[in-house]
Amino acid sequence: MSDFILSTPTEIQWIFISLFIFLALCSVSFHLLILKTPTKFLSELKSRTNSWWKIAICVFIVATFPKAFATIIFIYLSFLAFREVISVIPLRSVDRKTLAIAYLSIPLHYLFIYLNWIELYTIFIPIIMLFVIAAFISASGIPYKAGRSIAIIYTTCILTIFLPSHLMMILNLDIPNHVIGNTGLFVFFIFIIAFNDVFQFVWGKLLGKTMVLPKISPNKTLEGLLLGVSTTILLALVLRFLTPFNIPHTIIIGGLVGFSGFIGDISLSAVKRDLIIKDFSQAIPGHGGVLDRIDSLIVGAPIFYYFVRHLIPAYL
Amino acid sequence: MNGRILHFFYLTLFRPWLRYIIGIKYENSTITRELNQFVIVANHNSHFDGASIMASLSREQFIITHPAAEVEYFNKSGLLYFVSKKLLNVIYISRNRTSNEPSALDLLDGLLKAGNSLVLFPEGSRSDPGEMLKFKTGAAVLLKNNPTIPFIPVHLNGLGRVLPKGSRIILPMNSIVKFGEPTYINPISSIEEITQLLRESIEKLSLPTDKNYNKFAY
Repeated sequence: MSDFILSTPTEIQWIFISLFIFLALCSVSFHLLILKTPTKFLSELKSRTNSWWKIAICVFIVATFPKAFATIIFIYLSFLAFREVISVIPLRSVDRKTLAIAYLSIPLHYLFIYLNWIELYTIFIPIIMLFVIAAFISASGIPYKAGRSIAIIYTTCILTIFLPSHLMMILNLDIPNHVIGNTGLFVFFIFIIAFNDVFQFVWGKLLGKTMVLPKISPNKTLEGLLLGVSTTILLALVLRFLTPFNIPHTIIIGGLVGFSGFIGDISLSAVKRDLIIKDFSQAIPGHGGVLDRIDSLIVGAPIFYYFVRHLIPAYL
Repeated sequence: MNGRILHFFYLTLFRPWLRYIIGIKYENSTITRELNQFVIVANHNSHFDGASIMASLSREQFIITHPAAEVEYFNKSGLLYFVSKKLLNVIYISRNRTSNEPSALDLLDGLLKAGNSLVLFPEGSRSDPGEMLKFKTGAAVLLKNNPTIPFIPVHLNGLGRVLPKGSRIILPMNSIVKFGEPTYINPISSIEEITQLLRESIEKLSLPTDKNYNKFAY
C-alpha cells in the first residue's frame, strides 16, 4: 500500500505534507476560536476548511495512488456535477431515457481515459454523444421543444463530463526527460487554479471598486481579476520546479489559467442567475454544489492540457 | 423477513444508495426519534416515496412502522408485491372488500391501537411532480379517532422525477425529503378541518425555489 506513496517524487511528497500541515493549522485555530467566541462566520469558515480537507485528500489520492482510484473519484465527481445540473433544469418527461444514456456515458468516457485510448476519448463525448443524444431525443417522437432538450443535455455532458475529464487526461501525458512527470503537472495545475480563486476573491474584497459584470456576478471586480491573475503568475513561478516549463512559458500558463478561471466562474454564474438559484446544490458544505467549486477548473483544465500537449515537443 | 436483518440491509446498502447515488437529502429526519408512535403524512409522486421515508427511521421504529398501500394496485406485478410486502413492511388495504373482512379504516385503526406507526399518502395515488391531488379523508378519520398520536407532515420534493408514474427508469436526481414538526390534532375539529390542516402543513414545508427540482418542462 505504501509503495506507491513512497515511489512518488520527494517534491510532491513535500507539497502534500505542507498542505496537510497548513490545513491542520487552519482547523485547529478555527476550532479554538469557535470555543472562545462562536460566530456564524467562524462556523462557516470551519465547514469550508472541512470541505477543503476532503478536496485535498481526493487530490492526494489522484496524484499518488494507482490510476484506478483516480478514475473512480473522477467518475463520481462528474456524476455529481451532471446530476445537480439536470436536477435544477426542468426537462420533458420523455427525455428521461436520453438522460439515462447520458449517465451511462460517464463511466464509459473515463474507462477510455483509463485505457488511454486517446482517439476515442477526444471524440466520444463531443461527437459520438451528440449523435446519440440527438437520436434518442428524436426517437422520443415528440417534436415540441426537442431542440431545447438536445442543447441542454449535450451542453451538460460537455460541461460536467468532457471538460473536467481533461484533468485526468493530464495524467496520461508522457513527459520525457522530466523526473516529476505528469503528477507534478497535475499538482501544479490544481494549486494554481485553486489559489487563483482565493487570490481573486481576497484582492476583490480588499481593493475591489470597478464591477465587471454587476448583473451576473456582483463580487467580481476588475482589480480583483488583474491583481489575482498577477498573484497566480507569481505562484506559478514559485511552483515551477514541479514542471518542465521555462520561465516565459510559466508566465503564459499562469496568466491563461488565471483568466480562464475567471471566465468559467462568470459563465456558470450567468446560467445560475438565469435559473434564479444561488448554488447548483448543497453537496459540499460551505461551498455549494460540485459545479460551483469546479467552475474555474472547467475552462482551465482543457486550456492547460492542450497547452502542455503542444509544448512537450519543445522540451524533448 | 426478520426486521433486524432488513434494517441492517437498509443501513448498509439502501440508505447509502439513496443518499449518494439517487441524491436524496433528508432534512430534520431525526424528529421521529423522539416519538414512540406517529402517523407520517406525505405527498405522493413516486414509488420511492414510501421507501425513502422508511429508510430514514431507526431500527425500533422501522419494525413497527407500516406504509399503507392499495392491494388492487400492488397485486398487479409480482415484483412490486414482493418488494413492498417483504422490504417495506407495507400493510395492504382494499377499497372493494367483501362483507366479512374488516374495512381499511378498521384495519389501520387496529394497528394504531396496538402501538404501531403508519405512513399515509392522503392523495390516494401518485400525482404528477409538483402537483398535489385532493386529499382523501381516511387519514383525518384515523387521527380524529386517535388524538394522542401526533402526525408528522413530510414534504417529498423531486422524487417524482426520480421514478414518475408510468415510467420504469430510475434516474438519479437531487431531491429533498423534509420532515415537519409533530402536531397533535384537536379532536373537536371536523374531518374537513383536519384534512385541510394536513394539506396545509405539507404545503408549508415547500419553498418557492423547490419548483426547480420538482417539475417536468412542457
